[in-house]
Amino acid sequence: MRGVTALVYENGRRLALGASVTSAHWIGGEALFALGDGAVLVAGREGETRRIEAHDGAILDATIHPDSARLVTAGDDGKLAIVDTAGGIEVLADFRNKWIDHVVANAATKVIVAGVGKQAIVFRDGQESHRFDYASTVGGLALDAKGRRLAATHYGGVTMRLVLAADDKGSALNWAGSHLAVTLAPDADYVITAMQENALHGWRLPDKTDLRMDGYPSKTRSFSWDKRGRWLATSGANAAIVWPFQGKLGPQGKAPLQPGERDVLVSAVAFHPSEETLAIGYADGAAVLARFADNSYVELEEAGEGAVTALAWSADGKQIALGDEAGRGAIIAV
Amino acid sequence: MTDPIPVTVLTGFLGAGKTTLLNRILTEQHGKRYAVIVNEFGEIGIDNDLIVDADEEVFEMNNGCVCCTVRGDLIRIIEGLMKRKGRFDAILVETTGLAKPAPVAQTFFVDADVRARTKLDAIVTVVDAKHAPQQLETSEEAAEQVAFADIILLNKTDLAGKDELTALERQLHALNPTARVKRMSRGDVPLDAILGLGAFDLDRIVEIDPHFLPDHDCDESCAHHDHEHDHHGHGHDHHHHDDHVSASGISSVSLSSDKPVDPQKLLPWLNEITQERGPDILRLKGIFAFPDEPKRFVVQGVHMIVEGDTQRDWKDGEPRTSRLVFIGRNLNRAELESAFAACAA
Ligand SMILES: [Zn+2]
Ligand SMILES: [Zn+2]
Repeated sequence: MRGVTALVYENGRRLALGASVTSAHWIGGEALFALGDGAVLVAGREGETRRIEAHDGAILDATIHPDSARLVTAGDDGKLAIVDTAGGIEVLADFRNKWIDHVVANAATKVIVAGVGKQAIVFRDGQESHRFDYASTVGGLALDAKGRRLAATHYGGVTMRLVLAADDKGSALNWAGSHLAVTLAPDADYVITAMQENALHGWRLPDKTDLRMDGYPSKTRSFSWDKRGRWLATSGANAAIVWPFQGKLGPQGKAPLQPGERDVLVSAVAFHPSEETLAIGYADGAAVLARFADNSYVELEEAGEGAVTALAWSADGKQIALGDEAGRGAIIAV
Repeated sequence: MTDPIPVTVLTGFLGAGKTTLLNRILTEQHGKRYAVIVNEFGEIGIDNDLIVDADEEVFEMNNGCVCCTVRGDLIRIIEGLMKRKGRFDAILVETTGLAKPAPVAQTFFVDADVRARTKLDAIVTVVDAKHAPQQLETSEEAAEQVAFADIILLNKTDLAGKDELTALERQLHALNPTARVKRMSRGDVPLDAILGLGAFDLDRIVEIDPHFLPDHDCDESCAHHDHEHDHHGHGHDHHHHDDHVSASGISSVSLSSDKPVDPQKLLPWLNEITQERGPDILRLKGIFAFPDEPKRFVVQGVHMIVEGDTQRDWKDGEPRTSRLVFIGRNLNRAELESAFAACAA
């Protein structure tokens, strides 16, 4: 940590978001923040902001729509909404009393999948297509880069399905315990889950070889793969824990990189869209940029009032949006 | 970082009047905004802005132990609620009549994120005065809910006779000597008697079963000062209470010693017994006098989760009596007594 002045003061702007930040996204050069008070805040190019009241409650998850022009938001009001940056809101589904905990989408297959209780509900062409059932509540969802395979975590492991095959009974990846967040490697040869007991579990596909990555002092909530799938960065420790996936055996028997070590926990990570540069957010609200090539750091944001919960790079990798639990947001040109 | 949000767990047998009480808590003017976590909502009328439906998903932690269970749904819900921080001041968790209280309580100790954001204030168990004696005999969940309680609300007391109530209170006291028992008839209990108790705060473990003191006079400090019965008449045969075992096999064992206790013996023993017998030990509470230690040492535990710390000074003239209460299944009184005696300094 060599930074003296955070880059946000030189090259960025702060935003008072007014609520805990669930996630950050970029659409057409504008940053979007999905918030705990149900709103989506759009930070426009000219410095203006627009608040879109999408939900009556908290936004629990959000993702870019398959059309790449809108945001899909999942609320604890039971609504799955599609928000456009001009302020339009379309309700895709209403599950009433049920929370929608997760939502994922993919542009290639144009699917949107919502995790609601013990079901994953697949939407195509603006309407519900089919539902998949699980034995316990879905802890996390992930689609592969091609938008074909769906990983859903639950108690006892992960179920893999072809998302478009309504009758797919699924392939089980079993490991005792409660599995939460999940991620698929860009070419879908690894499935990695974050477990209740501060460890990651992984499977190499298709042979289902188990991988165990533990030693975390807290739960992992944030995953990020670099563009080529060579590194998986994770939150949950006093440094970003970055596992190598270059060889045939993945991280098996290898030590992770640990950039950005501090005396506070890392709460969010995001790889630059093309370079081996990692944005790291901390539980105290600070954020840094770690460049692997020369092991250099840039301080993005200084400590604030709450953990960084959202980090998102613009598609060109020139800007990063960050948001924290206490409602502080920032957009920084890197 | 902001203060942890207090959580009150409301348990109780079917038909005991939990929902009535819940609605009273929500509608009374106390300036507090609650987030309410219920099971099967929609079926019962609850008047609150923020209600969440729980699924009662109990799962085992990965240590292979049957008692180390948590409620996955609560972890998920609390995490979600924290996105709305600032919109509520406290959380109420209502469980069904059939819910086991241990996984609920343990969730607030085992999950680090939940623990950082919330604190379990108290487990409040609502008991139907008329039907409880039978429910306690036939339902293991009912007995566990009483065993886990910090405060037991005896509801519908207008429907039970005086002697029935006295007998029931004795039965409840035998199952759980550390809980306070309050009578009410239509959920009409002062809310400050059930909210903001800090029952799991080591700082606030005040007194444990004062009836070991032979010259005990019931007063404000007495754990059952809310009894409306004639205290002079109840004879203080509390020592015998311990021997009453409910049909579920749940009972309590209260131990005391006027000799100081050796921490080098006590702490390993407590650790060992809770590891070995964790599934059988539902709750434990203790206050100990260590040699040359001016402060009281207090412990509290749920199954295998035990926390201990030094607390306030022993007061001048306060008898330095060490006390320990186990509430659980298959407790062997003689064994516990001799093991505790062996901890003397
Ligand atoms: Zn256990
Ligand atoms: Zn008394």
